[in-house]
Amino acid sequence: MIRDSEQMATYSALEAPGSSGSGLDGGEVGTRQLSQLQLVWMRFRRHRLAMVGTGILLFMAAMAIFAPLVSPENIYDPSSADIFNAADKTPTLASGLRYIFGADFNGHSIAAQIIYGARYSLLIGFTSAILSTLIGMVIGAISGYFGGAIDTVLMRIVDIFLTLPQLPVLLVAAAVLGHGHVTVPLVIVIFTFFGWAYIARLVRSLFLTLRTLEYTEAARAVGVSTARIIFRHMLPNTLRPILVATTLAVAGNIVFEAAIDFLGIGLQYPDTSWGSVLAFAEQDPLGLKAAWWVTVYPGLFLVATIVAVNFLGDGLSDAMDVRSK
Amino acid sequence: MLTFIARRLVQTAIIMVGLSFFFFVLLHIAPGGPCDALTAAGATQGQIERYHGCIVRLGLNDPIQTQYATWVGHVVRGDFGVSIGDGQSVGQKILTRTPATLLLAGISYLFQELVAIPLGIFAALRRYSFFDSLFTVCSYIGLSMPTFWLSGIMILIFAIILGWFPAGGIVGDTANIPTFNGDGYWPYLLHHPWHAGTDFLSHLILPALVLAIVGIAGDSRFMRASMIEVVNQDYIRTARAKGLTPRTVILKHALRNALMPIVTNIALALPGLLGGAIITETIFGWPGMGQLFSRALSGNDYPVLQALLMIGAVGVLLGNLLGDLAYAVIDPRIRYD
Repeated sequence: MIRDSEQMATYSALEAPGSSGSGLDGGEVGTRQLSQLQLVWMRFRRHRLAMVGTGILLFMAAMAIFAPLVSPENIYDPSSADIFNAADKTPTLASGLRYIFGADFNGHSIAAQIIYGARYSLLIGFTSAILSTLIGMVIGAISGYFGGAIDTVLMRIVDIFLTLPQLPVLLVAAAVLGHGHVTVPLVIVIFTFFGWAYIARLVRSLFLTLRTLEYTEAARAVGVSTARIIFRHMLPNTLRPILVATTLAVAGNIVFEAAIDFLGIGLQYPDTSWGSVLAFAEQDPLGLKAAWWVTVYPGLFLVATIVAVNFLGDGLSDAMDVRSK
Repeated sequence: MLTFIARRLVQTAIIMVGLSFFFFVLLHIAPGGPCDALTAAGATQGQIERYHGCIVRLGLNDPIQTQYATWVGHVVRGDFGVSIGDGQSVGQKILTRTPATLLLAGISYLFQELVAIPLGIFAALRRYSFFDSLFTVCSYIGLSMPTFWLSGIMILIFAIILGWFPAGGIVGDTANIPTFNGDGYWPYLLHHPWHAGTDFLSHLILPALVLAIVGIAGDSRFMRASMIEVVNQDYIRTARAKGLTPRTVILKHALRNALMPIVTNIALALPGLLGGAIITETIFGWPGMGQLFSRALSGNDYPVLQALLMIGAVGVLLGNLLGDLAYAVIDPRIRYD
């Protein structure tokens, strides 16, 4: 049976949440018991890469939220560009932070575009990852808990979604549904629509094991409602692998969005993301050679964010592993 | 085992039918149809007539199930239709581009595994060392680099600043060497293996490196995790305890088991290489399937897109099947009865 391989994966992924609670409460007589959340935070804080990642992400998020305040230039105001003096301006600190990363061939400050671009890149990455995780969790939980015909039908649908070649399908959907240029809500809908299946499969396989564990049976025996068993007792124990999958999805979505921009079917001004800034850089008449900063700097911010998200995922995974102290 | 394969093939066929219909609908709900290029605001009478001729010729006014049935009827006879862009047969177009994709994907994938596997093993054996921390940080950065940006950086450094390799294309000396995979290319390669070979390789290196770097970052982390898992097993401690040399323990006892997930992973990934690397091939002007895809995308060339999406899906399905089989072949505990 094909199930064998699935089941094996389930066990290894489950070891941690399955042994929840037993590993930590020994030998702490007389000391204050730390809550699960405090323990997770304690371990997370010790994870150096995760802290670096969190720092970078907070920085990017602050930049995105306060863009109008911190940006040296309003990118939505065409007259703010210094067309005559700044076209393809080399990075310089002479006039303050405005041209620290140079300017593009329209005279727009690259720094300002990076600051504003953070808004849609982060919004699209996080929103679509969180939405697809929520949908995947509900469908996976229903499928894994109830089993039977519901499970069969839902999992065949998941099979189909998991068979889709990811990048080509996202590109075609963006091209076809966007009539040549996608909008931010459309990108989020597309990413969510094609992104939930993996999480659903993951949650289902975790649930298949969880529903046979003693504490679930005990809860059922004392008459706890189905919804409460699923959401209060079982779902929390699946959080660790789910959170890791979600962070991967955030990173993936930010890159996919940039790829869509890059192939010329993405966001259009005034909608600005890091990807659309990079795509615009491609059209620079001076090219990569003479105006390298137009490509290099926005990309660095994009890469730093993805690295930070991945560090965060790694740290969360370690911190929520109850076997580690 | 044979019944398992047979059952899986039947399942695969059913999913393919579902997927092909899904792709078909996705491509046909598009408002910008394939004939739109022929018409525009203020079109002349002749243009409008040609537009309607196009609609009728492609059967775009028929209900979607009729169109789909017609398409399936042609596909089972091996006819994927004609490209809207240049009227060439889609099957022919794809076949012309297969060698470039296979060469790029194959060579970069081979290089990727040859680097990733030893690197992962080495990092695992020196866990928590300086090398391991450096490896972890580097692999995360490698994993996080979007290929279009990495390609740009590689072109900037190695093609523009250093000038070591060409920035794109597949044939440099166009005066002497025929078009890649065109008339006379292969005979020319046979007669001038050194000249045409080095010309080809110099164009291959940058895109292959871009693809390999991202892959190495992912696969070496996978290898490292797998090796760490195995090294912590009881049987490794037993092997050490009975006095085997560290070399024997690592090479004979640990490595074999640690390689199993990687081999499965390779089987899973191999058929997916068929579809080509869309972004990398596009940036480097590599005449493979990936470039064909991005051109079809911007040209609304639906028959080509439909065929390429199908190839991508077949790649995923075939990969899953191969992965399961590899799993069963390597691990005697797994049986598909």
